[in-house]
Amino acid sequence: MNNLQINIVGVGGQGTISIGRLLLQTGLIQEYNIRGNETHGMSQRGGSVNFQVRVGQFKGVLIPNSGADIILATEPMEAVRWINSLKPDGIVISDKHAVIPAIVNVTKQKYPKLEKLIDYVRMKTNNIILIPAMKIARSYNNDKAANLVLLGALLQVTPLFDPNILRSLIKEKWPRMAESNTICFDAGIRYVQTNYPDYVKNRSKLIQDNPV
Amino acid sequence: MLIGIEAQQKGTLLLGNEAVAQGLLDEGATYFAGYPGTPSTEIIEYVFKTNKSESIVVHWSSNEAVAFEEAAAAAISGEYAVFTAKHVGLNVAADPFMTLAYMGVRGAMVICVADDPSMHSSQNEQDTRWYGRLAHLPVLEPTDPENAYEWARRALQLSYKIKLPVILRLTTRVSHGLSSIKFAPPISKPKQDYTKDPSRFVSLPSNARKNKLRLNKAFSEVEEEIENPIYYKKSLSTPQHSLGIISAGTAASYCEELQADLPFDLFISYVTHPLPKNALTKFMQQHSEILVVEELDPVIEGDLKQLAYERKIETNIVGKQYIPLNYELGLENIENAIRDLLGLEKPEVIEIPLNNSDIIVRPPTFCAGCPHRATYYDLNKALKHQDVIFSNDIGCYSLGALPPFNDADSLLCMGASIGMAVGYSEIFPDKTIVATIGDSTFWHSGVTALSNAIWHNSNILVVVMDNSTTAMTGTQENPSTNNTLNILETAKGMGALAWQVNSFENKELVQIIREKVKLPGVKVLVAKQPCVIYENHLNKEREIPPKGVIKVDMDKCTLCELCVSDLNCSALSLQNGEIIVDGAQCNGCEFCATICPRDAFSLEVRTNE
Repeated sequence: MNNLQINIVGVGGQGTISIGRLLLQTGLIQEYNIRGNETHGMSQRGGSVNFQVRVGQFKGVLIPNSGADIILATEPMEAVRWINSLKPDGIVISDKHAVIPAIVNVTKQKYPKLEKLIDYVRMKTNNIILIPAMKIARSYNNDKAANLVLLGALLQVTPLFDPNILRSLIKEKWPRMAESNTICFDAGIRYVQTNYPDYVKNRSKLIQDNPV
Repeated sequence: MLIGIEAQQKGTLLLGNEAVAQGLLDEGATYFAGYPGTPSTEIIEYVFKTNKSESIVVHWSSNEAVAFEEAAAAAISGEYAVFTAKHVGLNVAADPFMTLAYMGVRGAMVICVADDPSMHSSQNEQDTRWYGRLAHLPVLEPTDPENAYEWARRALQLSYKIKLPVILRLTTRVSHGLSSIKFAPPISKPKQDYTKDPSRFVSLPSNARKNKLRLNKAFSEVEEEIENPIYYKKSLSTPQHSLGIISAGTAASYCEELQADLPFDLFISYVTHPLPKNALTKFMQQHSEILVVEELDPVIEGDLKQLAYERKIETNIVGKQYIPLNYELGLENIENAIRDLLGLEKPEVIEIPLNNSDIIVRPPTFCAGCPHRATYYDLNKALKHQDVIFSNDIGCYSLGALPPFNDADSLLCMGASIGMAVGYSEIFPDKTIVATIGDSTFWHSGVTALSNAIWHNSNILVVVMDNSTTAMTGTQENPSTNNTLNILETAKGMGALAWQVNSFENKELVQIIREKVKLPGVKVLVAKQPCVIYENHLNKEREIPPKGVIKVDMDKCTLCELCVSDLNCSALSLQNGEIIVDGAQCNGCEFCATICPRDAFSLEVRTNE
C-alpha cells in the first residue's frame, strides 16, 4: 500500500480539527490523494476528539484498527485512549501537557502520572516523541498555538508535507496571529531537531516504506 | 452528461455535506429548507455561507415537518427544492413526506437525510433506506465525500426526470468525511410557469386514489432508468472470482479498498431502492457466493434474496450472518467477514487493554460560561428536598443528565420533555414534575406539547433554557434568535403562569422555583441568557473585548468545593489543595462568584488578547 495515515487526537477546543484540516489542505496543494474525517457534535464540548488523515491510495475515510502510522496527540491521555489505532511500532507524538477532565472533581478520580500513560503506549511502540508543546506556546504568550508546535514536530517525522506551504496556510488562516503562530510552528520543528535527531535522520524511511 | 467534464485539477477541500450542497447549487437548486441536526447541518450552513444569488431561498425552519412542507410547495410549483434533516428528523416530516410521494413534483425535490450509524450524536441509528420502501421513493447513496457532489447532482436530475422526490441518503462518514472535490460546470433550472392542478395536489381521497396509481407508474419508470450503468459500478476480474460482493454507501468504499488484497468481485449500487434487478441478476449468476456488505439493516440483502427466489438464481447469498448488524462498519470488520467466508487467516491484532481508572472517560460537558450549567445548579439547589421527576429533552441541556446534575429521568425525542411531563403528572400526582427544554426545541415541538399541558391543566414546571440559538449543532438561528419570537409572552398568551429570569441570577431563580413549583397548573420559567459560544462569536465580530477571567483568592477559599463539584465548571479544578482557573477556558460569566459562600472569586479584566 502506498500510504500514510495519521490519527490526530485531543480534547474539544484544542485545535485538533484545525491542524487536521491544515494537513489535508497541504496534501491537496501537493496533489496527493487525500481523505479525512472529523468528529462533530457533542464531542466539541470538552469531550475526546479525533481527526483522521489518510494520504495515498485510499477510498474510505476511516483508519482501521492498528492502521495509523502516527498518532499526533494534543493531550497525553488521549494518545493512550486511541493507542489501538496505531500500527505496531508506529510513532506517537504527544504534548506533555495534561488536560484534566472536569468530571474528576465529582468522581474524585486521579489523573495518572505521565510515566504511567507512557507505559501504556510502550505496550504498542517505543517510538514516542514527547513535546512540551503547551509550555513552548506559553513561552510565546500564545496558549492556543500548542497545536501548531505539535504540527511543526510532525513535519520532522515525515517529509510528506511541505513546511513552507503549511506556513503560508497558517498565516492565511489566522492573519492577526500570523507571526506568533509561525514562531510556535517553527519552535516545534526545532524541538524535534534538537531532542529527537534520529527521527529526523530516518524520516525518509517512513516514505520509502510507504511511497505515496 | 454533465458530470465528468474536466474540472479544476486539484479540487477543493470540502466536507461531504458541503460537497452535497455545492452539487445541488450547481445543478440549479432554488429552495433549501431544513432543521439542524448532526450529521446533516453543514449542507444548509454551506448554502448560507456561499450563496450570493437572491433568487435562491435558504431557510432554517421551525422543525422538519414545516421545512419539508416549504420545500414541497416549491417542488410542486416547479422549483428545484432541497430538504435536509438528520435521520430522526425525517420521522418528524414523515406525514408530508408520505403523501408528497403520491402527488409527485413538477420541478424536482431532493430529500437529504443523514443517518448516524453508531449514534455518535443521536438517540437511535434507524436506517433511512426503509423510508424509501415505505413511500415507494428512490434512494440514492454516495459512497464517500468525493462522489457526494456527483450524486447530489444526479439526485436532482433523476427527480426532475421522473417527477418524484428522491432521497439522498448520507451517513456520518460521508457527511463529515473530507476530500478533494472537483466541480463540474453549473447549470440553471429550466423555467416553468405555475398552473393550478387541484385534482393532483389536493389530497382528497378521490384524488389520492388516482395519485397512488401515478406513483406506481413513476416508480416502475425508476426501475427501468436505474438499469443504466451510470447508476452502478462493477469491477470483475478475469477469470472471475467465485465470491461476489454487493455493497452500497460507506461500506462500499471500504470494499473497494479491500479489493487490492482479497479475491472478490465487487458490485456497487449507488441506488439502493429500487435495485438494478437485471444488472444484479447477471452479477449473481456469475458468482457462486454472494456477500452483501451494508451498514445497519439487511435491506439490500432481503431484496436480493427475494430476487434470487423469484428469478431462480442459483447462488448462495449471505450478509448479516457475517457482517455486523449494529453500529458503523470499518475496514477491519469487513475484512474479517470476507476472510471468514473464504476461510482465510485473519491478521493478528494486538489489542492493548485500557484500565478505566487510568484512562478516565472524557464525556462532553457544558462549556465554561454556559448558562445551562447555572440553571441546573439552581434547579438542584431549589428542589433539593423534593421528590422530582425530570423530563429532559434534546439539545446542549441534555448534558444535565450527566453528573454532577443527574437531572434526567427520561429523554426520548425532540419536544418530548413537555409531552411526557403531562404523562408523569397523571401517574405521579404527589411528585414534582419538571420538564427541561431549550428554545429551539421549544419552537420545534415543545409549543404543541405545551398547548396539550395547558389544555389538561397539568401540574408541571416547564423550565425553558433560552440561549437564543440552536447551540448543540453549532449555533444556528431559530425563532428566539434576535428576540424575533418571545417564549415568555407565548406561554402567557397560551394561558400558563410564566416568568423570565436571567440564568445567572442565582438567588432570583432559586426563589421563583421554590415559591412557584407547587402552584397548580402549568408553570413556565424561562431562564434566559445567550449561549456563550454564540456570544463570543458575535463579540469577536463586533470587536467587543472578552469580559475577563475569574481569579481566586485562596486566603478566602475554604475548599468547600462547591464550584468544582456541585457546579463542576470546566474552567475550574482542584489541584494540590488549590482551586486552579484555566484562563483559556474561563469566559468570565462570574456565576462561580455568585454562589461562592466565601466571596473568594473576583473578575480580572483580560489584558493579554
